[in-house]
Amino acid sequence: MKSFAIKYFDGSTSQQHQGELILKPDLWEINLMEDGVTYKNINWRISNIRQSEFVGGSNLFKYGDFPQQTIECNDSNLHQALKSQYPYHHFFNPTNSWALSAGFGIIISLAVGILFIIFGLYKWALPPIAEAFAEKIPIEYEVKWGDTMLKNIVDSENKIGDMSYSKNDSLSELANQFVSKIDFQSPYQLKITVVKSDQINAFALPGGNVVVFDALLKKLKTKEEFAALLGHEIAHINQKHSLKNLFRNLSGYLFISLITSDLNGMSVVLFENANSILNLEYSRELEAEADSFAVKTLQKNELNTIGLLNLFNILEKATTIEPYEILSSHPLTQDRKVFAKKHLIQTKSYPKKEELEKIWQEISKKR
Amino acid sequence: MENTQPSFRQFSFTGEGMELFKIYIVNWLLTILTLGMYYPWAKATLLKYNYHHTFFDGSPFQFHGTGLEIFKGFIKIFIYLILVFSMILGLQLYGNQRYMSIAIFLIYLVTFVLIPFAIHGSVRYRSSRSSWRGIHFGYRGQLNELVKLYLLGILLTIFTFGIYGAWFINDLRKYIISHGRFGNIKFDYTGEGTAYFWLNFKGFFLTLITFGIYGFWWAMDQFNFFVENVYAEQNGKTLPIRSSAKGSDYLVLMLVNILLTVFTIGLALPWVVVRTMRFFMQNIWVQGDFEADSLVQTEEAYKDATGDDFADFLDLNIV
Repeated sequence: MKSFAIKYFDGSTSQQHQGELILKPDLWEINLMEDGVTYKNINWRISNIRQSEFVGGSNLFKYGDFPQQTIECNDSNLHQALKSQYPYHHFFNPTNSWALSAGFGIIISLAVGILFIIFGLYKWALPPIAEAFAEKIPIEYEVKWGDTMLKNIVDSENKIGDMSYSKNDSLSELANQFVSKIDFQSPYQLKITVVKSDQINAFALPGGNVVVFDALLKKLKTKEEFAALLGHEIAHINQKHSLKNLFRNLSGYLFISLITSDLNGMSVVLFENANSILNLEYSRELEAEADSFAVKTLQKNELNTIGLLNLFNILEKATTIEPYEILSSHPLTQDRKVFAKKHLIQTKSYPKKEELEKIWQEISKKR
Repeated sequence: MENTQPSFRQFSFTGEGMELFKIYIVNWLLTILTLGMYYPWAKATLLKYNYHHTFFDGSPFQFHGTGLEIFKGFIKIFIYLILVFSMILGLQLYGNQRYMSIAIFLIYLVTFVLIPFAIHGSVRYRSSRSSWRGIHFGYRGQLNELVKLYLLGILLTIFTFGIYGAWFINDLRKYIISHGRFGNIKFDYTGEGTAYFWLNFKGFFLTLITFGIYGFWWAMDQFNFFVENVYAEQNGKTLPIRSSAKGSDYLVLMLVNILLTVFTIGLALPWVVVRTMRFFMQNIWVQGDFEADSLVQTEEAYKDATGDDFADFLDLNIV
C-alpha cells in the first residue's frame, strides 16, 4: 500500500510532527515517526475529514471539530490517489477544483462568455425588468411625488440649489385653459405652471405637472407650437418616463455593484441617489417616444403638425445663442427635425379651432 | 552569552496569477448567475486561497471561515441596506427636503456609530478563523472599550480638524493589536501619534512639492511605521517585526500594476493581487528567537461574520 509523507499538527500545540499517510478503504492511517520508528498511530474517519479547497504544491486536510488536527502533504500524487481510492467522496470543492484543472483556452472562453452575459443582461434584460417595476407604482404615489417636487421648485421657501422659481399666476391660469381644450389622452390630472425665468425651457414632473418657463413661451408664435411642446412634455408624464428613468438608473447601479461584489459600491449608490431623484434627463430613446406622441396629439386634435417642426427650429435657435443645461439634454439632433418633417402633412386643411385660438391670443398678449 | 547574529524569519506569498484568475472566473460566473448571492462564498474562497498561499517559516496560514458564515452576516447587512433605502425613497415620495436632510444626516450618524461594532466583529471573526500550524489567532478586545475609544477619538479628530487623527489611529491600533493573541503569543504596538503626525506632515508636503511622486515613499513610510511598531511576545521574549519595504520598489510595483490593469481592461486583476501580496509579504520579517514548535492553542472559536461583512460594506481597511 502506497504511503505519502506528511506533516502533522495536533491542534493543541504548533509542534510539527513528521509522518506518513496510508489511505485505507474506510479510514486514513497516520503514523507519526522519528528516525524511521513509528511513535504514534492516529486514525481519521473519512466522514470527518474536512476538504481542502485547493490543489497546488501542497494540500491541507483538517479533521474533527475546533481545534482541528491538520495534515499537510506536498506530494502531488495524493490528489490522483484520493480520486481513485474514494471516487464518491469530495475532498476538494468541486466547483473550484474543476476550474483549477481546466486549460487556458476554456478559462479564456469562459471569461469572454461572462463579459457577454454581463453586457447582455445590462443592455437588454435589465431595462424591461426595471420598467415593469416602474409600471407597478400606483398613480397616487406619482402624483404625491410630483406635487412635492413642484412645491420645492415653485415659490418654495427652502431653495434647493438654483432650481427655484416664482409662479406667473395669470399665465398659468390661461395655460391650464389651453390644456383643457386639447385631448392629450392622459389618465393624469394635468396642471401647467408657468414660471418667471430667462431660461428657454420646460419640463414635466411625474403625476401630471408641467412647468413652462415664460421665456420659452415668449418665443412661441402659434398655438400649434405650444400644443406640440405640451404634447411632448405630457408624453413624458403619460409614459411614466421619470419613474422608468429612476428605476433604470438604480437597477443599473445595483446590478453593477452586485456582480462586481462591491458592497461599498452599493452604499455609494444609496447615498448618491438619495438626492438625485430629481433627475429629469431622459435618454434620446425616451425623447423620441415623446416626440412621436406630440405628433399624434396634434393629429388627433386636428392641429397642424408643422407646430412641432417650428418648435424645434425655435429651440435650435435658442440653444445656439444660450446653451442651457436642461436643453442640452434634449439634443436637437437632425434626426428629430427629420422626424418632424416626415410627419408634416401640408396639403391638409385644418379646422379653425376658435376657442383654442382665443386662449392662445390672450396668452400672447399677457406673456 | 553567545554572540550570535539575530535571526530573521520571513513571510512569503506563493499564489500564482493564473490560478487566482481561474478562481476569479468561477467567482464572477457564479456571482452573476445568482445575482450577487454567491458573493459570501466567493469571498471565502478568495480568503482561503490567499491564506493558504501565505507562508511563515515554511508553514502556510489557513482560513477556516465558510461561505455560509459570511452569508449569514451578509443577509443582515442586506436587510439594513433595504430598510435604509426604502426609507430614503419613501421620504422622497412624501416628505419635504428638510426631513430628507435630517434623515440622511441620521443615516450617516447611525452608520458612523456602527463602525466600531464592525471593526470589533471583523477583527474577532477574522482572527478566530485564521490559523497557522493548527494554532488559531484570537482577539480579546472588549466591544464597549473599543466603542468608547472610537467615539471619543472621532469627536476629537473632528474638533481638531483632523489633526488628532494621527493620535487616534495609533490608539486604535494599539488597542486592537495589544488584544490580539496567537496561541500563547501576545502582541503589542508602540506607535505614537506625535511621530506619526510628523511622518505624515513631511509626507504631505514632499508629495505636494514633487507632484505626487513622493507619495510612494510616503505610503511606505506609513507601512513601515505600522509594521515596525508591532512586537510579538513569546514566553517572555520579545520578537520585533521588521519591514524592508522601500518607496522605490513600491513605485515600480504600482507602475506595473497600473499598466497591467489599463491594458487588460481590469482582467489582470488576479496578477495585480499576486504581485502586491508578494511585495508586502516578502518585506515583513520577524526578528529574534521565535520558537515555532512551542505555540499552545488558547483561543475559542468565533463564527459570527456580521461585523466582517459590515466592514466590507463600509469599505473599512482594518488590517
